[in-house]
Amino acid sequence: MANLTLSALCNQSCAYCFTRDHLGDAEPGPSFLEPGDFEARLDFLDRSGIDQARLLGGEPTLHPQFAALVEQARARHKKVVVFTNGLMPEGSLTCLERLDGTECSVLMNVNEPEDGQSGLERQRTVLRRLGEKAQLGFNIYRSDFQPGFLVSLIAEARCKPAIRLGLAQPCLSGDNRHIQPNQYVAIGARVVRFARVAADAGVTVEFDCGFTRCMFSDQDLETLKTLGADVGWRCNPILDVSIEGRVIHCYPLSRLGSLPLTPETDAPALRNAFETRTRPFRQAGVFQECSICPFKASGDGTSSLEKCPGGCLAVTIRRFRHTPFSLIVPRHEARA
Amino acid sequence: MNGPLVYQCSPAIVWAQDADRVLLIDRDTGQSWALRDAEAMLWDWLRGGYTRDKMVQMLSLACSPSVEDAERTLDGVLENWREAGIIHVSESHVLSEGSAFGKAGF
Amino acid sequence: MNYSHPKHSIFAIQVFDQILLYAPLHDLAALVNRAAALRLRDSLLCGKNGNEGRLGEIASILNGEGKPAPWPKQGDLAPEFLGLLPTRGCNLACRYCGFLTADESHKVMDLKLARDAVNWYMDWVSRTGKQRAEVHFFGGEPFCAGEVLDLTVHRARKRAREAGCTLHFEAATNGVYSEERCRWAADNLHTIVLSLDGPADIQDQHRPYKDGRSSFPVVTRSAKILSAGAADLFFRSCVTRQTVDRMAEIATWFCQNFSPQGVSFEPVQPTAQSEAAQLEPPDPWEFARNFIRAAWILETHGMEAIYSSADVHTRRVSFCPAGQDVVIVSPDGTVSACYLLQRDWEAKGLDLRLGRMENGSVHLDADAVASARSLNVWNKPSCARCFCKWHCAGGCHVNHTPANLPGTHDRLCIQTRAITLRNILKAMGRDDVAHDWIEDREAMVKSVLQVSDLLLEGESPA
Repeated sequence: MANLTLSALCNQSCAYCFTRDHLGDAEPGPSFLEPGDFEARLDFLDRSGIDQARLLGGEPTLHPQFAALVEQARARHKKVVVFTNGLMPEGSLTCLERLDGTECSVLMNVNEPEDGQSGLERQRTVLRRLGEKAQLGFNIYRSDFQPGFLVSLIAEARCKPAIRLGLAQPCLSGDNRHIQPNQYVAIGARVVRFARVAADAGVTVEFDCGFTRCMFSDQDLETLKTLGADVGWRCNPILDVSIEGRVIHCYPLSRLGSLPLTPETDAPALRNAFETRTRPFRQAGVFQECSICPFKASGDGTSSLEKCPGGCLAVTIRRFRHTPFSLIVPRHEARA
Repeated sequence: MNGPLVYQCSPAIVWAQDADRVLLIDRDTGQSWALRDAEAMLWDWLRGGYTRDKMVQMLSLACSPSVEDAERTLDGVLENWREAGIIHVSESHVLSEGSAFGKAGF
Repeated sequence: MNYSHPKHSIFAIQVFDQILLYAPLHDLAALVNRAAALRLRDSLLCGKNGNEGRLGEIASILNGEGKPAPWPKQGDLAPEFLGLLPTRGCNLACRYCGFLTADESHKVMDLKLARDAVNWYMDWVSRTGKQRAEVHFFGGEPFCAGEVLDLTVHRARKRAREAGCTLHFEAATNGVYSEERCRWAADNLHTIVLSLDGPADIQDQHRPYKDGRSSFPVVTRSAKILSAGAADLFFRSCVTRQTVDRMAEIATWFCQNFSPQGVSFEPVQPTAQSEAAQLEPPDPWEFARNFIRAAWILETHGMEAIYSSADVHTRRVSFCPAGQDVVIVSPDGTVSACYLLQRDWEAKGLDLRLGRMENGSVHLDADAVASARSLNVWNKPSCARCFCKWHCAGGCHVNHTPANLPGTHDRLCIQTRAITLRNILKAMGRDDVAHDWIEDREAMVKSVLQVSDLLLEGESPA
């Protein structure tokens, strides 16, 4: 899997946006990916054996040639997956509307209506028109989140009856709004309550990355399984490819460094490089107790339901710090 | 060259406190070390700016029966860390004001 | 009357036109009408259950054994935790602080004394096979003697590993220290109670530096670091008559800026200092109502609202460390049952010393231990008929002297009874009743000022 950035621009300003470091650190440059460069991206997907073109931003549908890029991807037999806030221009919507569910899926991230972001009406319209191709995503960035409106939205729009729940994780700078690990258990309880409500309406929940095993009791896990939830403890190199052709582990970890996308590189090699670079930090987790947790996975980022990688790597790395210290020892005392 | 020795944390070293250890990672090489017991104590107290004498006293009170044992332990740990590249040792020709014997606590 | 029998811990409190039946030793709370309450009372008096349906179930539970009433400690000393008072010194000059003029404020605990205290306690833990050891740090400001913590944390950890037990550190602190020290606290302590009274104007009015400077920037920086850290963080916010109406605002501000596990609101304790600063305790009714409003805000954000004498999940005979065998070691080696100043105990005719640290060990006076154990709710007649007795246990032995006349409710009682009642309703899932109740002064007064809450006392409930 790899995500291709089409646009550095966005028409929303979500407090939790995890591209904050990446876009904030970037030198002034193009706002949109050149179509020629997109061809190179598709070449990368081909030699990596990836059959999906996952498009994101900023807001990818703002790209002036969005429809053309989608056609390019389709010409390469890629299933197009679009990560969007749904506030897309008519041209972009029309192009996605024409594709069927095997050719395209759209993950629409929505925020609670009270969060002061306008656009729910447009999002409703887009959802309705995309139908089953569209799925809702919701990022949890505060402990008192109220996702109930999502169920009504799904019923009304008749989109895919599943919600992808994400935890708003910090960028390495911590400048975006994010939840703290000490809120995880309370959030886990709320997720379970919501999963029950959603299940009553025929809607399942899916976990995006960063959830941890210890967020849920054994009983809660059983409940989630019974409700058909797609539960997982995930944290892996996503491979986000920037407009400039640099590959990063994932947007929250953009400050960890990037690797160039060259005509020779492929996704497995890049993933391997990032896993090697981050492996030392995988010994730890988001909690101090991860080091003694029986559920903690071996440190390579893989997991099963009984093996947890220790939560989001960005949170884990942020636990580490450098403390400059000096010990001055008179010569006659020194033994070293 | 009879100036005091200065032990400093390598700039590449980052660390985190875990439930059963202090985990050190060299950002440049990816090497890691798990500090426990006396090493974990000394890491804590070095960051706190304690002097060598004070750390010897504290180490003796915390886990060693004698001051001599504590001194040996401290010196052994510092040497191990120097060899591992966790700390650098240099000579200081000038005794900076207020820094000669550090300060207690943080 | 034999108040030790669980039937004498069955309470009936009027809430509007209903009766809240509360039986903490039977793990039961129910809202019933008056007729039902009378039938239940009759059932308990005659020991027979002729009731059917839900009422029959309740009667059956209440006629059952129930749990034994909490009892004072007996036998060998069994400390709930080890208390260490590294220093009475402090780097702030809080305007209500009764510790400000403590004679011994310059003293810092000797490291060897600290080590010996830890050794004594951990020897006891090892000997008795206790699975969990706890060390609490008090002050003054404990971090004004940071090296005591730096040593004892590591020494205790080493001993805990050897004993195969878990270890829990707790500290009450003002948050005024370097960023690195703050991160140390977040990494090494398990529970931190940070005193933060509210937004800048309140914090600076209440808790300035000795030279009058604002402590707000450094304390809020610490609050943010601790919010993101590993330790469980609780704020302690002191409330006055001037700030009681702002409790909801304070709660909102906490929720928006930090993420503590909970917030403890405490009315200011009158001292010579608080009186000089014209910081008065709030009206108890207003404190209770505003506490409950603040609680709703905090709970929406997954945070706990705490009033220390109204914890319905705890059953105890003593509100505080005194009476719970806690051993608190002071910088001069005195071992006592209480962390307040000796002059304050003595002013109330109490001697809470337990003994001394000498020759590397704790030497306790058996009579002193017995005297400390006698500080319990069983010896507070005015609490016998109160539905809060097993949670509040009569409050602080030094700062609260319950009236001799049973059923006389003072400021602490009013606050405690009102907030406890709401906490019971919340635990029952009936917080909706509390919403209406706090807006109805007459209803509040009827509930809170009941002379006796005992269902069996012979009076018709309400």
